[in-house]
Amino acid sequence: MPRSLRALKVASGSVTLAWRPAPRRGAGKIQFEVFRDGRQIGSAHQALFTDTHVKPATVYRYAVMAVDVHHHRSRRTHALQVRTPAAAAAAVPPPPSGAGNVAGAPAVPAAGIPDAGPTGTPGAGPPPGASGISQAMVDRLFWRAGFGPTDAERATWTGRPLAELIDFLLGSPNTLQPTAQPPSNMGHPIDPLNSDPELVMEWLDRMQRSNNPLVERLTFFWHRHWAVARSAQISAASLLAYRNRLGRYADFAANPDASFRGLAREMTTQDAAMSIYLNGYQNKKAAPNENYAREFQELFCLGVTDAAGNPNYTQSDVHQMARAFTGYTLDPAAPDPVVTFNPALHDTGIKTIYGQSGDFDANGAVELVLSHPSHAPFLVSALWKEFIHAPLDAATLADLVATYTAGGQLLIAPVMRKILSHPAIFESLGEPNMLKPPVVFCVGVLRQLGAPLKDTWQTAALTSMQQLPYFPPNVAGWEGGLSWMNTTTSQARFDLIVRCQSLLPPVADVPGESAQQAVDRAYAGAGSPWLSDGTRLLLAEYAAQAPTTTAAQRLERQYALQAFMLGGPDGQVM
Amino acid sequence: MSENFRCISCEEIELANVHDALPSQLMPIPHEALAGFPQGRDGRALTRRRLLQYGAAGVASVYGPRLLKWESVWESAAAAASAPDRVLVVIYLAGGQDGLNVVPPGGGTDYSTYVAKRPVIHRGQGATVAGRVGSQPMPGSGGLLSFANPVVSSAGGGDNGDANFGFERLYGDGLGGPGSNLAVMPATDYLPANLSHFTSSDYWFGGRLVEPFTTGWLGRWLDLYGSPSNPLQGISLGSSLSKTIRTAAVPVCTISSLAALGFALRRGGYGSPGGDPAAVDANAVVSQLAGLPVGDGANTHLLRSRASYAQAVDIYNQTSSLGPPVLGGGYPTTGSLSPQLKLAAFLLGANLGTRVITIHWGGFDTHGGQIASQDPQLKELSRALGAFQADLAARGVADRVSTLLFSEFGRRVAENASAGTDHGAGGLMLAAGPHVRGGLAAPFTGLQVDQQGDVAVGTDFRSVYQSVIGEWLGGDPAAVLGGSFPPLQRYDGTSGLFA
Repeated sequence: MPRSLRALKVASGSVTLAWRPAPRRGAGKIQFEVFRDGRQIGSAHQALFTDTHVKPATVYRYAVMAVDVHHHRSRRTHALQVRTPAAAAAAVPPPPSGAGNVAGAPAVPAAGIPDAGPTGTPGAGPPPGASGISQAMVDRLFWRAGFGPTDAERATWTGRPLAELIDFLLGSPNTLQPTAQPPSNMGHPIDPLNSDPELVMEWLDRMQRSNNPLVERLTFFWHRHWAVARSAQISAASLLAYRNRLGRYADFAANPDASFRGLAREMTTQDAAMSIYLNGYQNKKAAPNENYAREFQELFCLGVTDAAGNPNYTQSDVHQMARAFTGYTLDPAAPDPVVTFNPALHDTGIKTIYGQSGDFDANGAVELVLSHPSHAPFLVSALWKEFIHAPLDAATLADLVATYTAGGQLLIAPVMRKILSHPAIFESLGEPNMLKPPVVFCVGVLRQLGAPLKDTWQTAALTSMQQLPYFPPNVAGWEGGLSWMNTTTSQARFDLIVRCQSLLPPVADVPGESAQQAVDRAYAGAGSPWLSDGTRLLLAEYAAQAPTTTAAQRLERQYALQAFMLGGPDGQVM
Repeated sequence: MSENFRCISCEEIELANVHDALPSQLMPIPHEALAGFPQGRDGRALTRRRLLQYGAAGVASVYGPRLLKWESVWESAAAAASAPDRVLVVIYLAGGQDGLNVVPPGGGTDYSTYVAKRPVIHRGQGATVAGRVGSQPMPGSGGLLSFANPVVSSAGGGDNGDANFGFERLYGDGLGGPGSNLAVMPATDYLPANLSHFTSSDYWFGGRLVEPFTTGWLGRWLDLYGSPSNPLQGISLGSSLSKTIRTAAVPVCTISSLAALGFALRRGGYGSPGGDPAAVDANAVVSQLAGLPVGDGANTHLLRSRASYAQAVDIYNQTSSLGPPVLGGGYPTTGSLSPQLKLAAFLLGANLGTRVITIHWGGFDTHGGQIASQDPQLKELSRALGAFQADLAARGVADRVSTLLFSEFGRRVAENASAGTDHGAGGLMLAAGPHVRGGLAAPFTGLQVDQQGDVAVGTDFRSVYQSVIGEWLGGDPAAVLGGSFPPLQRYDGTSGLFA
């Protein structure tokens, strides 16, 4: 007979029930029949059922019966009485707001459900004052603008004004915390020029240890935006130079006036990795190669069409721009190639781009693209989408475009300031609504567990999670969004936790520890991540059920709880 | 220059796929399919047993406007199994296949123009010469065209390396009768050609020259003539849906593999990676966590996360007791096309009411070092396609399967300074199958190079789509394509692609 029937969630329009299957030996696959007020209303293959045909402010009695493959029916459970709340009580979460703890409305608990949640959760943090931010907001910013918060960062920023944290992200230098366990490969300290996994680990290490995480996070965004992939022709040294170049456009303490114009010019005329990746060095007066000129417009600066669906450029514009970009060459066989300008390979003729004619050189052509009316909306939208789930509304778009184009400077930091302090970034604090990109998830786990980077444990996992830095699938970078999660990547994300646990010293065995104490210890050891109420309840139940007779069993419970918290479904959103 | 340049935009699969279908449209097929069979329907137990035996539906994720009950999926699949229908397998060669170096000119001034425009990468005639592969004459084309050596079997004198499989074996005498089962359609495209990978592939997937992309041409065909309840009617191999079968109304699905690992914890061994690897099953708890309701229905990302975990557990539960599927042999082991074709043949043999299977194979964007990157792919392509036909025949389903190959554009006639070719108009389409009328099925107007340096486009690709619908799959081509297009002009003066 199923046991422990309870209401997991009760709302005015739905009731979610859960129970313990308690199968008999040899019963085979079990199906459950769900009864409401004595009548069967549905069946389930797992110990979970949601009844969506309920009315507000009504009392219902539920019971569950198990049926095995031989049609043996168990007895029904004792009836569980549930009262749905009035419709008005099904509170919609308050509108996004920069001030105040906007955790989503908690589920209305049914009578008899224990409050299983560990204390000190982000969503339940101390309400901020008029100028202070809640812990949930600190968590949100450190996930979106970094790789998740540490306890120290939470302690530092909770209750402080939002502007101070934004100032910190946009104005403090990119220093690294010391590490007790430097990253290593096969027992040796890593050397990014030694192997591809070490090249990747060098960057993961910087992400894990950065004091101002926005620098590496925004650098990684630029990598996704100006995608370049490692190959036999593109050396690790070229990629490090490329990464460091992108980093200068993300480190606003060192470069407060970093502009997209500067970045676009450098990628066009100085970056060796990009030159090889998109055949720029083979683009010569006698034989123009259109590859870079096309992607420069299509993917890096404009997009194919504007908001109204009109083409932003023509095939002729691509060809003419390729001519303007001629003359920048390099020796692809050199170990650390350098882009130089050879006037003999540059086409000095008249080019016609967007209807304007002139002897445009590379910077001249870049300027034409950056003053194209589609450029500013394209770029600020790309940045917005990286950090915020909600769509960019017209008024905010106009505001961001005005900020970006002010004085014609195309500065990046002012746009980042507006995005990171926009109320929409704090939307749905009680139920995070953006999937963590694999790199953010992986580095976040390293920070949450304090795990070392070792051998290829993490880089192999990133491949399975479908995002290995320096190896984007194509010049459009990674698609991201919902595409991050599928059956393969969900398993890879869970496996990463198990891998990282094996690299850490064993946790302590605490004989006599209660189930709730075990949950609380695992939760603290996992960096106090966001968990839904339902997950807290299920994990408390798991902890209560798990055998704890032997030390090995007790340890297994600790590791399992952490794996479920970090590697389960709730651990994937930020 | 001899560098083998990694190519750029669409080497891997992402661009051509539809990822962001709403997760509410995702349904774990195995959970509903393999566990949810109603009792007492013995008459159709065969289908169920077959499903269990093969585990074929084990990894399908469904894209459709509404959730399906497995009963209706099963009824549809069972009904389709009793009256098997014709199938189209669509292979997308991503990146812009250089058709001119697959079927180069066979002689005359076209050939000398071709050599002059491609001093480094042209195919020599006859056997392989130093550093450059050759070509073999294409029968039934009046000497217009030839087959590049890498697509010709070793028995035919080419360097494909397999005596059993090559384009010339499928092509036969090129007269379209029995044994002539490969149709060649050079210089097929649309005008004016758009040379963006992303835009042009959207046109080809959509079968119409409009942006933004909404539905695929075979998606619309399924909407008109397909089943409202069988997602297995349209299958994309891989983890995401091809735009070719993106529908507005009826369900379709993706299948990435036939096995899954499930969620496991380590038993002991913590603190040392070399510890006891024996695993502890974590699937039951993960399943519970994944089954939690999402409070805010607008939170599509958390919904997606939970759905992915739930689906992974369901697949594990339903497939862990099944043996590995019996895949066909004879395929090359050199590339990533063969595993997909093996899976396609297996699924077609399982007889699940499938009408369309899409396969995405990248790496044809040969801006540099073209010979070194294209030749291995051509060898794989010709051998895998031959093995696929043999596999289908062994499973007894070859007679109702045709295969269509396309790319989003061709390449410029003249090579570039990097021993490669840039995007150009006029690509090569191929069709294969016992009911395909082999031979030169579209005109080759010779190397009349236009102002932009491309071959003259002789055939609109939608004329081919029109033949596929009108002559093979069935239905009204104009209803799918939004208009009529000139019939294909075969070299022998007749028209049509299928017999």
